[in-house]
This record gives sequence, structure tokens and C-alpha cells, in this order.
Amino acid sequence: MKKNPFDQNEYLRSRLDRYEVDVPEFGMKRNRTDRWVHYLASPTKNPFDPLVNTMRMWTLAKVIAVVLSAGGACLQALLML
Amino acid sequence: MNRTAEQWMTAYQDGEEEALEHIYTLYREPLYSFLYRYTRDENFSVDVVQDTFVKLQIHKLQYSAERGTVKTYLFQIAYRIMINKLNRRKKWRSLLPFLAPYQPETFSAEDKMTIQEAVAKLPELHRAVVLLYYYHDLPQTEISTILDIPLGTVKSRLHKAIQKLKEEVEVSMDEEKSL
Repeated sequence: MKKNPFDQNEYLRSRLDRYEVDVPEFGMKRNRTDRWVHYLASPTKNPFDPLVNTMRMWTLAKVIAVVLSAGGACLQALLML
Repeated sequence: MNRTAEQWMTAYQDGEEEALEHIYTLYREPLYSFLYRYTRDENFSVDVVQDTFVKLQIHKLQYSAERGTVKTYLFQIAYRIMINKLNRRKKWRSLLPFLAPYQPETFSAEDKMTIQEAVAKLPELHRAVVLLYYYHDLPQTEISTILDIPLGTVKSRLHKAIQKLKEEVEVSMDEEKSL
């Protein structure tokens, strides 16, 4: 009979046995709408995180947004003329 | 009717559609547990289990009892789907980090090493071997089929993974004692 490498590690086995998983109820067929909702609801990294770290950069990020939207509005106004 | 998974699979291959439900009932939980322990992502694990059964339906005739058990076949499909999805996710994360789902590390509130954390800290290839061996009672030969690696590699990865886990949990045991 082959030796189980975990046999000599009682403490490790006891810890591994504590790792239980709660299996949720779900059907066999996939539902694209559910997946889309889960995708939208899943957390993502904020691309502005490095900016938020410093107050100065955060203010700058807000100013850039205002300047860009003002620029966009001016451009739109010019195109309408 | 008590049949083995292999008998249900043969019945399914012969056109008995209800047999698939039995196979699903048998392996839904083990597959989900493996995927969840590997990724710690509930929705992702559910998606992979469902995709595994979609693939099983498409390729049902490719299964042959002589080549291995249904369990090994399903774990092999699930592992490949999971790795492909994870690689795709990594690529997306490097290109558009704000669009790729990101699983924050949510370990226990206590500031000590939990076994979940120790397993998650293992390198991916070591993690798969330990999970399949310990939690799913799969022999090393079948693990080598599932992961598509030589048997010797399975043995060495299992050995290394146990050493790493032991180191991690011993640190945690020392911390517990010192408290």
C-alpha cells in the first residue's frame, strides 16, 4: 500500500480538515443574464487609486475632469456653429 | 436505481438524457469545492462547474471508461476551463485593470494565518495537487492526467506543497502558543 504523505502530519491534517466549503444552490444550465449581473457586480480595481493616495493628486484629478468636460462642451459648441 | 458514475455515463452516451442529472448530482459539490478552494471566488466557481457540464454534453462521446473514471474526466475538463479563464482574466487585468473582476483577499478578521490563507498562498501548481490529493482522494496517477503533467512532477509538487503548508501552519501554531 502506498504511504499517504499527510499521515505523518497530524497537525496539518487537522488544519486542512477545518477548511470546509459551503456549496450554494445552482442549476446545471448557465444563465447569461446572471453572469452579466455578477460580472457588473464584481469588484474591480479603481484605476484612480494611486491618485487618491495624495490629496494634491486627488484635487488634480478632479480639476482634470472639470477641464476635460469644459473642453468637450466648448468643442461641441464650436461644431454647432 | 444505484449505478456507478461510469454506468450513468455509459447510459448518457447511449441517449438516456436523465443520466446527466445523476452525474451532475454526484459531482456538482466536489467540483465546486475544488474550484472554490483554488480560486476563492464563488461566482467564478459556479460558472466553471456549469461550463464543465456544457462541455461534457458537447463531448460526451469522447469519454471512454478504459481511459479513466468520470470523476477524473470531469476534473480534467473543469481544471482546463478554470486555467483558461484565469489566464484570460490575467490578460484583461494587465490591459484594462478596471474591467477585469478582482477578488479582494478576504481572510479571517483575526490577524493570524488561517489554513485558507496558507492554501491560497501556495503557488498555483502546488495548490492544485494538494487540493486534488487531500480533499478529493484522487490517486497521483489521476492527478497527473487531470493536470497533464508527469507523475514524478505530481510527487515532487505534493512534497513541496506539504512542506510549505507545514511551515505556514507551524508559524501560526507558534503565534497561537505565544498568545
